[in-house]
This record gives sequence, structure tokens and C-alpha cells, in this order.
Amino acid sequence: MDDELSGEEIRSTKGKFLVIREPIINIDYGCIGQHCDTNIGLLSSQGTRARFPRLFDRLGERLAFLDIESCGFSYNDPIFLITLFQTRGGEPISRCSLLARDFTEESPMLEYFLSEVRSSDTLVTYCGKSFDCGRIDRRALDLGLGRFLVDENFRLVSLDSRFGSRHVDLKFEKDVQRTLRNVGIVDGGLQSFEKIAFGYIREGEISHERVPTTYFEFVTRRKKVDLDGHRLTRGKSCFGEYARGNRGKDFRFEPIDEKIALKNLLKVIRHNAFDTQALIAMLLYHLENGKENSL
Amino acid sequence: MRCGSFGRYNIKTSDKDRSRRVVHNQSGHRISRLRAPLKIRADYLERLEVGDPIPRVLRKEIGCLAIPLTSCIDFKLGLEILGDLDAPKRRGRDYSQQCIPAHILTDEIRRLWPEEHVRGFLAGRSVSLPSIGALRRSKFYQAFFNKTRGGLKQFLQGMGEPYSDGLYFAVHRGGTYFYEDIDEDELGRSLFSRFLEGKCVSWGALSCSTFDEERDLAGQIAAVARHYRVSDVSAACLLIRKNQDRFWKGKDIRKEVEISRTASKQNSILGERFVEFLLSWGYLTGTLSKFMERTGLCEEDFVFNTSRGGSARFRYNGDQYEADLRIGNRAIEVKTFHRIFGSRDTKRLLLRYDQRRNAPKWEDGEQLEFPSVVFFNSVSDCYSKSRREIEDHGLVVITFEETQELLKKVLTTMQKDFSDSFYQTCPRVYTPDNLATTFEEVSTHPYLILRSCYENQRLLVISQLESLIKQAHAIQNG
Repeated sequence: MDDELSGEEIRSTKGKFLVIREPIINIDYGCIGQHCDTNIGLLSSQGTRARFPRLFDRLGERLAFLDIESCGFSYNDPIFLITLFQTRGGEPISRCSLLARDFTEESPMLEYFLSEVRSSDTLVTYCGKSFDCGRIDRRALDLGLGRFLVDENFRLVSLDSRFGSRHVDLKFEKDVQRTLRNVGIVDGGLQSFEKIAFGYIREGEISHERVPTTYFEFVTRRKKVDLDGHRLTRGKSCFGEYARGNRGKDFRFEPIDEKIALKNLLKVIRHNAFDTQALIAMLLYHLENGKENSL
Repeated sequence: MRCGSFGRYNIKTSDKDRSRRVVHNQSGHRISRLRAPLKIRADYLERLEVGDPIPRVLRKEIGCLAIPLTSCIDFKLGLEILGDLDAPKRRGRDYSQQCIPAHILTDEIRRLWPEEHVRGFLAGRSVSLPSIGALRRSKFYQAFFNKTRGGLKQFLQGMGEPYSDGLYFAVHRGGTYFYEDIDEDELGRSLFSRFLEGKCVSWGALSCSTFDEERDLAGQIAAVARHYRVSDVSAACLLIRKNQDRFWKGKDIRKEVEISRTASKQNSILGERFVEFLLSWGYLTGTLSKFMERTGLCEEDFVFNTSRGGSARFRYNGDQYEADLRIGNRAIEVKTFHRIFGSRDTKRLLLRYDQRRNAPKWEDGEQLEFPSVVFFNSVSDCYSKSRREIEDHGLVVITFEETQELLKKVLTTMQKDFSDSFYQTCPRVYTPDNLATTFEEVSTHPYLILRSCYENQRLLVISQLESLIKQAHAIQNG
């Protein structure tokens, strides 16, 4: 089991957690990884700079592509996975997935992430302004990591505000969305982009709604089933005895096979890596095929 | 408390949990849950002995015991049913203090707050004056009320200068905070910095602190709450969010500021499981020699009777109590708390484990042996005043630092010799070092781990520890 969830254990002041590193070219699906690896030079080419002056004003030298997975949509839900691709100019990039294998590892993971992301000058996300950054801010503050979020005047500065105009949210970039619309990607989503631009359809993926359940099943090694034995995906707490409001409800917990739990979690990690890779591919696709509208 | 005249009640077993009894009113609505009569009796007697007030919930529970006889809630009849217990005494005015002459009281005030100190304080010099709490501890406290019908304030008015010039407001911290004098921005900043550091920010926690600055903050929060006519938790949230609305937009921090009962309970369970884990695995890894020397426990005591439930119950003077743990015939008490361990808490502890009293018996008939051991999972500031008294009564006190050192030793040895046990637990322990970090946080930063965002972590660690304890028992049993 350890072989499958292999990575480097990193220690911070709050404890240990796991980091999984992998070159982008090894993220094996379709030709997107290959495409990203080949075209990453576009980020430092002079020609592209001339074509996209406004965008390159905002893109710095060191870029960080970010996506997270959390246990729900509420601000209080734990974050368990942060995938980060960092690049400096046109260097080949590699994936760095920070994984909290249980809830005790969330705090060290966030601490490491917040200190690591400081070395980047541009943040690229998809829906990061409305989801990822807000969740990270709130969890960090609640878990006692507020020192990473205050400026020299002792005022709170969110991750989004810290990067300011250097936070490029591709969901809300008009030029990027226009480029996508021109090739028939109407909703501007990552999976539609993969399908239309690269002809790749993801298979055997875990749906977004099942991600929290999958993680809870992995951590607690048990699944929540109704009285007929059907798996329940609703309800976050899986601890039964001590958790609030679990007494007398019409469900029970059953042990889950360790291998199945791990397999499902690996799917989630993969899914997150694909999403972040698609993010890079989307930006490169825009630089390749799009144009910047004059003001 | 409802009386019989409001309607008729009946007691049923719960539909969902057959072992529970619930009280229904005339309309069939559930109004209360009932514990076993012996538990109610023990709770009541302990409160009487310690001098704690009897809470409404307990009064109601006792009253409900009369329902099978009269279909009404009757507290007095409930007490009879529990075995002819005494009703709680009402605290009345002590009229014997009326005859204390005024000059004795004046001398007492001059002793506590010397004239030159008061003059200096009122002139703005940095002189520290004792708070009104110092007078409360004096034997003449009641006399001030009897003398003037207005208490200390009236009495000081009659003493002339400098005592009549605002000394009362200087020493009575609870009433000296006025909204007009408070700088909301500064208060907000100090609360915000405390929030970032994971310290307590609620009025409840601050007001019972030993530090003057923290009690000052509590008074200021109360004044702001009074001004805006909101609860103290809302006032604290308001102040923390002060001038930072852009960041906090749409985010509610109420759950992180107020301390829920569930969280406190989970925290104390966490402390107990840590100690149980420590003792059961410490014995297996052979790291308890120092602890055994200190407490006088021998190896035979540790052979699988470190268990909760029935075997940890003991009887004393006909009442039943339950220790947190039992090792051999010795009782182990674990105190995981986030406030000051006061005199009432000490009394309650000594009531159960005082060596000088008649030795109580365990439920299985064995004699409870002394000295009992108390683990204080908290920083020493919280219990430093009570420690000597507890030790004088023959209890062995194990501090957080000692426990932490032992825990680290046990975890290190386990990783060497029993590394498989971490993988075989359900839920699995990926990083044993994080257990030590969690224990440190529980003991030194309780207000951080009591936040609602830590709930999953608390529950997870409890499950992990319980699983590890079961494994230790299984290994002992071969």
C-alpha cells in the first residue's frame, strides 16, 4: 500500500504530511502532458510577449498553477489536496501534490503551501477567485496559521489580494474565454476544453460529489450505508459514536476494503492533477491560438 | 421548573434508544431525558458536599422521579424517592456581621488600599491596586452590605477623600468599563492578534483568567456587547472583524470564537484516551520505569485491567463514582481543561480521592488503593494554586511536561519495535509524530483545538487512539 501512495514526507512545525512530485510529461493521459511540456517555452518567448502585451504585464517570471480538493463547499470543510505546478520562465514543470492523509496533516500541509506559494509571483487558477483562494484563506485562519495572511500593517490580506492583478483566473479571463468560444467551447470548462481541443474524454473518473465521501472513506476506513446496505454519499461526518447528530439516524457504518479506499483516493489525486494540467494547457492553447483584443 | 398544576406527565422508554427513559408532557412532546436514579443521586450529593449550586436541569430530573406516583414534577417528592435527601440550603444574609464596628471595616480598607497608593493611582501614576476580589476573600465582605445597604460603594462614599473619589470604580473591574472610554479599533486589534495566535477571545474564557490584562479585555467586550445590545460572542466577532470587512465578507467566525460544550467534551475524552494509550503502550514498550517509581505502581498492576466502564466504578459512602482509568487497584484521574482549576474543582477531586478518608471500594469488591494519580493535561499556570493542596492530600500529580516526554518516548519505541501496529489500526495512523503534536496542542493551545474547524481532527485522533489501545490489550492477552 505504501508503494502505491509513495511520496516524500515533509515536516513542518505543525507536523508531517505527504508530497507527491512528478514531471508533467509523466502524467499519462492523451497528449496533453506532452503538449504542455513542448509548448511551455511560449511563456518566455518574445513573440508571444509581443502578441499578448497586456497578459504578459500580469504574468511574472515565476508562475504557480493551483487547484485544490476539499471535503465540501462550506468554508469549514477541510482541504486535503493541493496540486501546484510551479514554473520559472520556460523551464520544464513538474507536479507537486500536497496530500493530507488524515485530518491531522491538514494544518502542516497548509503551512507548507502558504510558505511555498510566496516564492511565486503569479497565480493561475480556474475559479480560484471564488473558490480555491477563499477556502485556503479561511482554513488557514481557523487552523491558527493566520500569520501567513497578515501584511506588515497587521491587516489580513487574502491570497487573492496578495497576488492582486497577478492572479489570473482563467474562468474570468475574457480573452481566454473568447478563444475557447471561437473553437466551440461554450461553457469554458476544463473537461469540455480537453474534449474539443485535444479530443480527450476522461473515463473512470470520480464525480465531484463523491470526492468528500471518498476521502472520508479513505481516512476512517469505513463507509456509510443505509439500512438496506446501499452506500450513502451525503453527510460528512463518519465517526458515528462521538459525532454530533449521528445518534438514532437510519444509517450504519461498514468497514471498507483498504485497497478500494486507496484506489478511489488515487483517482481523486489523479483527477486533481488532470484538472491542473488542463489549466496549463488552456493557457498555452490561448497563447498559441488566441489573440489579445485591442482596448 | 414546571409544576404539577401545568399538566400531567408520563415516563416512556425512548423509541430510538431502548436504554433511555424520556419524559413526555400531556401533548406527547418530549420534555426531558432521565438518567438512572443512582446517577442523579450521586450527582446531587456531590454538588451538596462541594457547595455547588443545584442547576435547573438537575432539579427537573429529580422532580421527574415523582411522575410515576403523582404524574407531576415534584422536586421535594423526588428527593424523598432518592432516599430522603436534604434539600439544598438557601444562602441568607449573615446577620452576625451586623455588629462589626465601622472602624474595623475602615481599617480593613486602609490595609487593602493604603491612602498614598490610592492618591497616586487617582493622580494617574502607575500604582497597582488590588481588585475587589481581594475584599471578597476578606471575612468582613458581608459586613459592608449589612452596614450600609449599598455595599462597598456606599461605604467608601462615607469615608471621605481620597476613597470617595472614584476608588470604587477603579477596583470594581466589572462595572468600570464604559463604552465611551473604549477604543474599539485598539480592542479589535488586540482581539484579532489573539485570534491569530489561537488564544481565547470569548468573554467567558477571558473573564475567568488569572491575568489582569485578559480580565480587562473581558470587561471591555462586555461593555461593547452592552452598547450594541448583542451577546458577548457577537461583540467579540464584531471586534475581530473590525476594519477588515473586505476579508471577512460572507464568512462567519462565531463557531471559532465560542466554545461549544461538544468540543469541550471531545477535548476531555481526547485527554483521557491519550493517557490510556500512554499507559497501555508504555507498559508494552517498557518505558514506564520512571513513572512507576514516581507513582509506586508495579508491573503486575498493568496487566490488562486498564479499562473503562464497569471496572473503573467505585463506591464510597453508598454513592457511586467513576474514575477515568483504573490500573490495578489504583484510580487514575485525567484533567484536560482550558480554564483555571479552581477551589471547587479541587474540592470535587479530593472528595473522591482523598487519602485521609475511609478507603472506598471498587465495584468488583476490591479495595481502592492509594495514592491515586492525577494527570493535568494543561499548562502549570492553570493549576499551580491547587497543586500543593492536592499533593498534600496524598495524590500524585503528573504534569503535562512529564506526560509529553513519556508520550514521545513511547511513540519512538513503538515506531522501532511495533511499527506494524500503526498500520493495522482503523483508522490508520500515518504519522505517529502528529499524535504528539496533537497532544501538545490539546494541552498548551486548548482554545485552538476547541475551534469547530478541528472537530474532524479531534474525532479522528480519538478513534485512532481507541484502536491502538484495543491493540495493546490484544497483544497483552497474547
